[in-house]
Amino acid sequence: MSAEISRLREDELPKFRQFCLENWGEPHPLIHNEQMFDYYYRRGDKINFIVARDENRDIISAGGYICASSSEQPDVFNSFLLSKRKSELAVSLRVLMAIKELSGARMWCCNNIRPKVAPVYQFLGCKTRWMNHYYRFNRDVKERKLSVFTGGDIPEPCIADGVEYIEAGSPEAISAFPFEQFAGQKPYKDVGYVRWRYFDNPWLDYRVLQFSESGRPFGLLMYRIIEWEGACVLRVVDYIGDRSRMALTGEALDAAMKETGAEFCDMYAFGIDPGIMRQAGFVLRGEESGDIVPNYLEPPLMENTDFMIQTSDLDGFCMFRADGDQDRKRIIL
Amino acid sequence: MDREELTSRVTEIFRNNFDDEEIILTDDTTAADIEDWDSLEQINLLVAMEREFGIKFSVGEVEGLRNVGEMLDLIESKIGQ
Repeated sequence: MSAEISRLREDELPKFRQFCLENWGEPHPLIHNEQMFDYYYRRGDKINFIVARDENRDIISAGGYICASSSEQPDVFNSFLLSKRKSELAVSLRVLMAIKELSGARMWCCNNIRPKVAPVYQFLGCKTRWMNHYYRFNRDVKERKLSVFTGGDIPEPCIADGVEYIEAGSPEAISAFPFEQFAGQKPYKDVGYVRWRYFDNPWLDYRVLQFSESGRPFGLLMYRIIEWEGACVLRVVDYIGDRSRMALTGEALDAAMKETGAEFCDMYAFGIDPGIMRQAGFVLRGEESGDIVPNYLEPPLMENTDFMIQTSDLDGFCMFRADGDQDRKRIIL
Repeated sequence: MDREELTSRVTEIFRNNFDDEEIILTDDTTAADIEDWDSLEQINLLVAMEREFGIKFSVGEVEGLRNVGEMLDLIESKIGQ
């Protein structure tokens, strides 16, 4: 059976949502919450979903995507891949390939893939990896509600002499940031992406810090404060800029932890050297670690979580917790 | 590598993938003959075969494979390249 594969059309939305409901098994916020769907997938008059249709023009497979920049060859985050149960294998593969082709993507990646589907991406020549989980406990917090600290090492962040930072309240505050300088990094995220993802996010309050040395901005770090019943944590969700100087952000994060009384600050990332993060004051969670640094906090699920990612290109590649459709507000339909 | 050895190595892949030492493959074996052999497991099998034989399948080559015999024919043709 040959399927017709092209971009999802506006008039297909009702049958698309029905297809998703039937094959996902329950409503999905990204699809069935209209505000979320519009936020993540509508760009101008286009919907960033590719679908495959059978001979009856019924949808049998669908894959969404998010562009990391407005480039004509953007780096693309895959988002939400779903195929009709018992459909032919090749349909899903062709939808993924069509996303790359129709978006003009330079490279493509996906955050938080189910390990079970890793072979799908591997078959298409992509690499799958586990993210590292870095964290720093606040030693001033004695009563912990959101974590378990077994009393190990809390390295001091390196002294960031000559480094200044501001908290950017708007995209205009980072207008001097040299995004283009980092166009070789993958995925390349531009000012439009940062505006959309962090400043215009309807559900979550992100803090954007711009770091400079000798008056020259070198890094943007995004984090948010997660609160639960009087306790809180900080979560670093993204970093754009000179990755080798991420160590210089540690003092600022430590200050934010002390100011907020956060139990810990953590960061999931692939592609950031553990040595750099240690200089920032963060340790890498190992398999044998007895510490519990939960990902799910609203409400707290007291266990450690690991995330798998995939990428079509490992060269210059980093992935962070908020990339793509991840780090979302939990919406119950 | 002759057909018999190829079949033996592919059988081992199937047995490991489905965790079933009882699996016996013939050229006519299809997904209907093995429980849990769905499209996702098909990918697992293909990726395992790529690694086992040092080959790479294209999407066009694998879509429409009707049975194990056609799978073995395809592997043979790629090993011979």
